[in-house]
Amino acid sequence: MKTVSKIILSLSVIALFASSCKKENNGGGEVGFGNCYILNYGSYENTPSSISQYDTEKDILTNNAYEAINSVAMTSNVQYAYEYDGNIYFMGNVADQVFFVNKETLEQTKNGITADIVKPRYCVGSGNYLYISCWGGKIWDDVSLSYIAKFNITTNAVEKKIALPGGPEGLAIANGKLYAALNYDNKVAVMDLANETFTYIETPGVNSYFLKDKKENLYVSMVSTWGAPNPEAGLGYINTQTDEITAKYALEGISSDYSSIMQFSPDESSIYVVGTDGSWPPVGGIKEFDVASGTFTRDIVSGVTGIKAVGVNPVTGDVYCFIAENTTAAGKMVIYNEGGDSITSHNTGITPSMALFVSE
Amino acid sequence: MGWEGLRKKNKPEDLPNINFHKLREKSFEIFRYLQHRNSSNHRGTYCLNMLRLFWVFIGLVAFFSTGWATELSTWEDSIRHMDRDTFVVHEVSVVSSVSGKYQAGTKQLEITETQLNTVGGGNLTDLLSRYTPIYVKSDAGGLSTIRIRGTSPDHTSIFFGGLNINSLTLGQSNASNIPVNLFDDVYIQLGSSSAENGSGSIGGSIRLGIHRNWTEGFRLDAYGEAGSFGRNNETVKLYAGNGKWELVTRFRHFGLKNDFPFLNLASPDFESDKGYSEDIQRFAAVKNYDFVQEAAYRFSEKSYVEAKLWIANNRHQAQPTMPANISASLQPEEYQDKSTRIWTEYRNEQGKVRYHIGAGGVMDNAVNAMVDTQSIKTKRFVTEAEIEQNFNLNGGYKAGAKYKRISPEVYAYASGYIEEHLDVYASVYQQFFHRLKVSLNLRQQWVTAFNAPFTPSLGTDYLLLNRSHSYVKVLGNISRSYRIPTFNDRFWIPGGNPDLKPENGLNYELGTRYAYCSNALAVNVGVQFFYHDVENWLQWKLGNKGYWEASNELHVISKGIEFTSDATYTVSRNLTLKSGLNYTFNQALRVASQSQSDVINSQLEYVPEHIGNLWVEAAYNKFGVMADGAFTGDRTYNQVGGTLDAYTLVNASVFYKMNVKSVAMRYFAAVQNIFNVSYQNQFLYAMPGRSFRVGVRLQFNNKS
Repeated sequence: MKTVSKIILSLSVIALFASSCKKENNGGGEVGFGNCYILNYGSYENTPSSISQYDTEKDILTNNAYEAINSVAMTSNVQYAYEYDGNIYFMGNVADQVFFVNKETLEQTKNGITADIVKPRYCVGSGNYLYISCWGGKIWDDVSLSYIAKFNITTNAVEKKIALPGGPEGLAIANGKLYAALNYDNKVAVMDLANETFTYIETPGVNSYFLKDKKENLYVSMVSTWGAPNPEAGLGYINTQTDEITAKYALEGISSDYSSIMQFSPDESSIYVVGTDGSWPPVGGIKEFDVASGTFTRDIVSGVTGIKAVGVNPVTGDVYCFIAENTTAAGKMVIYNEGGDSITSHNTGITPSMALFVSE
Repeated sequence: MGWEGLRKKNKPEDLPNINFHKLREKSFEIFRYLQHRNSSNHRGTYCLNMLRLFWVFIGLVAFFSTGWATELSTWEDSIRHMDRDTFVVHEVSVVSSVSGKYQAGTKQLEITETQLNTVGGGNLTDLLSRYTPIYVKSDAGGLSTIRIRGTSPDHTSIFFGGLNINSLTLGQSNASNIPVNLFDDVYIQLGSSSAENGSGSIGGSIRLGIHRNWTEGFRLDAYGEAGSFGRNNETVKLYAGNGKWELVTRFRHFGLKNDFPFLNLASPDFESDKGYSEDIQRFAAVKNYDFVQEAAYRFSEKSYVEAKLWIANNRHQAQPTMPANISASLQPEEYQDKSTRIWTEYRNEQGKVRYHIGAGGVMDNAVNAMVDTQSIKTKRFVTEAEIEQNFNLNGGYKAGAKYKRISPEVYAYASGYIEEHLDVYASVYQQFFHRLKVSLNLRQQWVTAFNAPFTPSLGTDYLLLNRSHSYVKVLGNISRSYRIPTFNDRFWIPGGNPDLKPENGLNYELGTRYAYCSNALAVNVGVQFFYHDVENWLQWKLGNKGYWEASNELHVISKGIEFTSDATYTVSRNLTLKSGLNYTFNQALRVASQSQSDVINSQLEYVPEHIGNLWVEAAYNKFGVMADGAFTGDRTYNQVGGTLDAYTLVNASVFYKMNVKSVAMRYFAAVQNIFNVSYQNQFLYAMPGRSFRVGVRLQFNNKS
């Protein structure tokens, strides 16, 4: 039965690729996005993560896709999933591990890597390496524990641990430098990839994630956390030539969640940000930031209880809103078109936290 | 949210998406709210009113108790145990203030001495799981929570003397921290008893009983055992007295290394298809110390004063889940619960109006991961007074008042809050035509700036058939129940909500009981239908502020059937056989929810629909053998299809008793989980396979 379901799911993945190729070709783009995987974080130490597979063409969502392919459930709470070099890499917490699957089949053929991986958070690839931000332990007690793991994807081993205090969370590579958003310090760390030494950009508060634009500059989410209030919460714009914050765009209620809290629209004219309207009690929603004017122009959706994350379909521009009202029940994915109209919705696994649109 | 969740919810993983300014504003808002409630005038007035009411009641007690001598004592008192499902007749007074005659129509269980002996140095979890139809969610030793009739852990009250020892912050007790062999008996009421016991007893209540033996001379009861996976237990009870006064000292140490092997389901091998790997549980040790000191003096046969002190110091490492157990960087995470409970009481039962007055307190201190800055301390002072009088041979009443003053000192609360509770209650029972007994309980509680509901209960026992050796009773009970939200629910920052409503339940029971007793055979069979309808069920959920919040979230209906039975067959003077069979079918359904994502009409997580156990015991001369099996049905652990498989655990033990002069010795050997079943009681928590215990109990100069 498991074999049959494996075959069926594999065929459906292949069929999905085939159909999306066609769609992409018709659309004239150079890169197709045939598959959307939704990472469901699960419940910390209670229910491990799961993957939902969403057929964007047929509007069919299949939960527990990883389990169906591999015959076993995931064993970690996955913080982040990243497509690189034909695989999807997962940053797993409890058990702490980095593991990967074939991006087309979702099949895992190698055991997870646990050596020198302690609370991995995020990663970004460059050449044969993944740079992985790791908290190193109870970062909330000791900010010196964290580091960047330099992971060789050919040997599947951590080659080097580069100490980076301050709890690096989101990472980005731009202009030959690795940028790390520190979540337990008011800084962005900048590492020269050539010599692996750090400089720092001071920020008003702690930070979480980056978006890189076509100019190789970065938007950074500057957030307030319970232990670290930030009077200038919002987005910051980092010029990666000068490594300075050249603009700040206030959004008091920007989400400090550890999930996909901001995404570009396909043409990068807008950024969709999970946030609140600043009232009390705060009501969650997705705000659209207009890049040209540097202002938050409208709410794609508001008044959402349990809003968790946002995703954007790189082909259609549809905005995916992920909702998790509690940690025992199914989460929800509601899709809006760029105009803000609800198109469809589906139940996901527990705590959907990001969408990964896999390229061909 | 359970114990674990609350303890962990200060971790960053659980505190995402926080708007600090608004949170701080909210915390100030809560603080101002509390300040308003506690403003000196307001609080002083409130405090004065509650105390005044309490002392008015004391005055009434004094008035009624003077000069009314009576010899009335109803047959109900002497055979009250007959109404329970296990017959146990004590020749000593039971200190736990429970009186079944006011609880007609309810389901009550009492554990036999043999069962207590078999569990030995174990805890309340071991006892309930093996011999009662109660589900206990537990890990391998450090943490467990009781779920009676599909209700949540904070719906079961646990009493020591006049004290409800549940944590005020969490509203529940860790059953792994409650030793069994330290106490003389354990008494369980299934079903709501809020009208008798106050807030929290929606699912049931458990009383830890201590007997007054009025020892003459000295007596020592010593127990020791050693077992697999570093288990050891030593318990000593020392009794001294002259029949007039009595001093009893009880001490218990329990240690468990818990390094058992298990198949780690979080370690699939993708490279060689070898399945899962064997693993050894790490960092799950338990070390508990308990000390109980009693002092009692009796002025006459029916009046005495006593004081009891229970100091508990429990440390356990939070058992890592299977995935965590394979992490190379895993570090032990230790929790410590220190509690001091004291209860003093004067009891006078020689007048027409019997009465007792008591006072005591509880100081709890829970430390997370041994971080001193995160201590969770609460102090409570409790005093109560109660009078009781029989109208005639077939009826009586009691009335009482209980006052509590609570001061929490919790790192996550705004400081300076003091809360007072005043309960006034009255109960009456009357038997009609020697067949029908009716009891009525009424209770009203007042809580500082909080509205608690009026709580009545009405019960009946009807003697349907009465033969020379047997009877059949029909039982019925209807009661209201409630639970005041815990301090964490209301005041934890962030997420606590001072405006929560109390959980509010209506409970219905209907049952029948058959008893047969002859020279050789005694049989009890009971069947009870129950229906609990609880609104404003509290849960912690991830709200739109990005952190966990307490919310009156659910409407739950829990219904089912309980079957209990036991039999004792005296084959000959030297051979006795005993057995028992219990089964519960329980549907606990989430019938409405504030959360749109909740699945309506689905079974609550960690509530098995089927649970049952069977035990048999044979005693021949000085030898005895006992075996028991407990079945736990499927349980869901989330609402997306996650299910834990059913399992059956079988245990067995043998004992040999001998006397050498004035020393009674009982040697035993036991094996748990004989068939080495691999199972999970809680998702991803490994449980031990087959294990062994050996031990001895020595009773010096035993006169009881």
